[in-house]
Amino acid sequence: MRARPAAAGLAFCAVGCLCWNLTTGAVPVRLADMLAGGGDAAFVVRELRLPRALVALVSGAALALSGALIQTAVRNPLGDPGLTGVSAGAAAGVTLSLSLAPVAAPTPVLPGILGGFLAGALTLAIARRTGLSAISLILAGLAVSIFFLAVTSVVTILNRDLTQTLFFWQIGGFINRTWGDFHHLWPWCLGGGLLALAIAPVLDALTLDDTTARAVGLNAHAWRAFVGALAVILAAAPTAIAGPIAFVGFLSPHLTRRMIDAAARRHVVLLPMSALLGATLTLLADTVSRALPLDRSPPAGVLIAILGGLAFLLLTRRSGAVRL
Amino acid sequence: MTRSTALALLLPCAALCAALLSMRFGAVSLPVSSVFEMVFGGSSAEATLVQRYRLPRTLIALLAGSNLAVSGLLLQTALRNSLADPTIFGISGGAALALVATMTISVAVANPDARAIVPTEYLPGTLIAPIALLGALAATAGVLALAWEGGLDPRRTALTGVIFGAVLSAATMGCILTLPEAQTQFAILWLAGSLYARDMAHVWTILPWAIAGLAASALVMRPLGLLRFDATTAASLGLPVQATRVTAVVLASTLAASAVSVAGPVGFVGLLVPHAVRAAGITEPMAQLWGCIWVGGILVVLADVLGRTLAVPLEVPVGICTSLLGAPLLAALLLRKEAAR
Amino acid sequence: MIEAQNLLLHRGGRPVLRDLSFSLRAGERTAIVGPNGSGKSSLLMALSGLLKPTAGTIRLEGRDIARLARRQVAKTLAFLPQAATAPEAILLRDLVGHGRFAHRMIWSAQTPADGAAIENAMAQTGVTALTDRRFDTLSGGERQLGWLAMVLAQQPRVLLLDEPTTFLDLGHQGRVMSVLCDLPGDAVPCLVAVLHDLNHALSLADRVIVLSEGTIVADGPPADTLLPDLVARVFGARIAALSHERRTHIVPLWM
Repeated sequence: MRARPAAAGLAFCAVGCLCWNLTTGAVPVRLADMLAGGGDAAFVVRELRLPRALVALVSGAALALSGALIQTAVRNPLGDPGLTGVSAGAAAGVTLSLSLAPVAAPTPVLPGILGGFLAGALTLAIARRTGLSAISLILAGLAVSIFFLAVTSVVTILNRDLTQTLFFWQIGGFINRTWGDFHHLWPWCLGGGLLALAIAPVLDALTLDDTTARAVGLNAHAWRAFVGALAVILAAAPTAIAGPIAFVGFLSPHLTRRMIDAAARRHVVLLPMSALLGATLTLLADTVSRALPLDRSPPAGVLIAILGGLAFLLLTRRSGAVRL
Repeated sequence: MTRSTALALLLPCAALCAALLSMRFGAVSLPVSSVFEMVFGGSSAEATLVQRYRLPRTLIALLAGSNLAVSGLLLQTALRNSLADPTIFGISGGAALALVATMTISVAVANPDARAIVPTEYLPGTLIAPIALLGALAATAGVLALAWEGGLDPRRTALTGVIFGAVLSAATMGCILTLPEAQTQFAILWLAGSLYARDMAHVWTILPWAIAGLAASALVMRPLGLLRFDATTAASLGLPVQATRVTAVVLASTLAASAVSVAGPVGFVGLLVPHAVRAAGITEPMAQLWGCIWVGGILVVLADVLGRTLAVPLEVPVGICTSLLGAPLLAALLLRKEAAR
Repeated sequence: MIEAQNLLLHRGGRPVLRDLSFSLRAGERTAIVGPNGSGKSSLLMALSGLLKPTAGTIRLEGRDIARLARRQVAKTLAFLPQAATAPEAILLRDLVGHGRFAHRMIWSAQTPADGAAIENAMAQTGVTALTDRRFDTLSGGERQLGWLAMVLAQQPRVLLLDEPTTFLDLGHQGRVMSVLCDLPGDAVPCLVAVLHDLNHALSLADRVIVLSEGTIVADGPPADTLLPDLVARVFGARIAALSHERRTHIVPLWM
């Protein structure tokens, strides 16, 4: 497909999902009422559903961007913040800061970024020694994830007051997210997203191997480190607010690439479309899990992990789209 | 007496020491001297504590550890994959999902107000292990089928298992979250691999499976040792390769499932222990089996002691302790494999 | 001893063996030669029952090999693949001991007969002195002799070897070949080896089967088969036969 109609379609989907998300829930709200404003419906939407939906939207977009950046930075088709340990590291950072210094609570994103950096660097150090092959990266990410998840669990259990809250946060989801959460989230995501877009031409060059990239006049190593750092920030912010969510970062860029012609697969096109797709996916997951006929709706993270994992397995099969 | 015979005899003694430690430490610390008389008779409050709670807990830790370690050994030998482990291959995840799903249904259908500290208490004791086994076998078949491409590449199989396991654990989490809120926390604790609040009934759940499974492992171990050769050589020496492989993998699933059905998915014991045994220079298959049985038990008992004493009266689930050990080992294995290439 | 009837084998949809029929008798030492890709290794795998032929049957001592259990086959027939891999950190003695697998019950201990077979196999291959060494510390040639000891410990009546001298230097090739040539006739009644080096075929075999593109183009004593014009036709190489110390040697002639 050409890039322009595909992007338009995606934007339409994202807006559609946002509307569906805002109108579904315990109290159904009609689209017309919502747009008209005023009354209880408007209050529910403005104070409860809109912040939640926006957190989901921005998280999905940021995770998708982060995945795309990781895929380019380490030239690995399986790049994803959840699968490379970055999300687990960020979660450990946030949990540690919350239980050691509850004062840090107003800025949960910063310790998340620190933890994400640490985990990402560890994964890279292990995977680099193993030649950065597609599978090595994920297995190294698994080792790092397990370690940080275990650390997170220990801290969670030892901190009785927060145990319940932290357990639910660690599943990943958008239930009960507030405007406050959204305000923590958006500056990092917007900043990171714009920066990524600004360096799109460099990203295109980084898809080449190091020698070629250097031949076209790029300090490849430095740029890869910078792109990796940007990916960590874009993953840590949503993790700090919505919990660790995997597969969105892997799926969005891949599905986007499949959607558009090879000629149009430049980062200046790829990044915004991936972000739109990521936002659509998280919004959709949040809406569907809320619409399930259950007493308590599960957090979106559960649905994303189930469907995302299955999609991952399908795409990476030998006959699948992603070559390992 | 050779070095390996000495080692072989030392292991049960070490397991006994670990068991004594496990019965001594806990929310109430007891002197080791009195643990003995409490296990065998004695009727004080402390003796009851040891008999009712610590003894079954220790036995379960020993049995679950042995089962998981042997499961890992069987998988690693049969599939010639040094990354093989019931957790990594999604086998434990399959067992856990089967149990939690059955439990969720039975809670919803039969007794919505019931409460239990150990989630499997909703199910009849004799059914727990078979349900877990069904789940484990289904997961194993799923992972191997998905990873199969005219053969099983070790890393690809591990990757498939990891992702499949993530899907299964998300589904498990989804089931748990439909439970009444008061139950959720206990269930999540169980999912982390915990030995909290176990009694003798749980010992009886795992014991027959452990005995049968370990005995069958001893039978299959010598033929399985031939799979340390390549498949062609093994077959030309007279081994029915595919049948042996299938037997070993089914056996490994059974052992892992029975461990999961009483202790929850305790992770990475199956990865850690066989590698530790090999690192100790034990190469003969039967000796490896013997080593795994005891070292696996010791590891889980000690991890449980650690989890109980880290922050009394709170408990860190044993599965988290083993994960903290397993993650660095996995990293080291990945690095070593590459160095050898 | 072993008999192939109308053997047809496809691998990857391509015919590798086309309608081969022959029988190997006791007391025969057969060399299978042929250019790369002529189907030598596949033929050996099929003869040992490890590759199922697309059509045709293989009879081992009169019985269809496809109907025999692996264990039963292994009591009669041993096969040494070209690139066998050994278990990590195994001792030579234990490696050779694995040759007894088919002869032992799953649980029974090693019998005196097993011990004698192992000792004998190591003596025949001259590796008795290395018995307590770790297999992975041995040189390439010593390892190949160790493998030979393992298949000899199997006490097979039919022994199939797939290029036993590849990857070895000249000296080790000589040692392996002299071990094979010196095997007493009653130790292995029927010996079949795929050989690359025509001189090895000359020194070992009393029967040579020349394979080309999956068919037998010559079958008979070395003097009748390894003739310059046939070799030129099959291998596309010119050779000359030289006599030295009353033995024939084949020398390739380079342009």
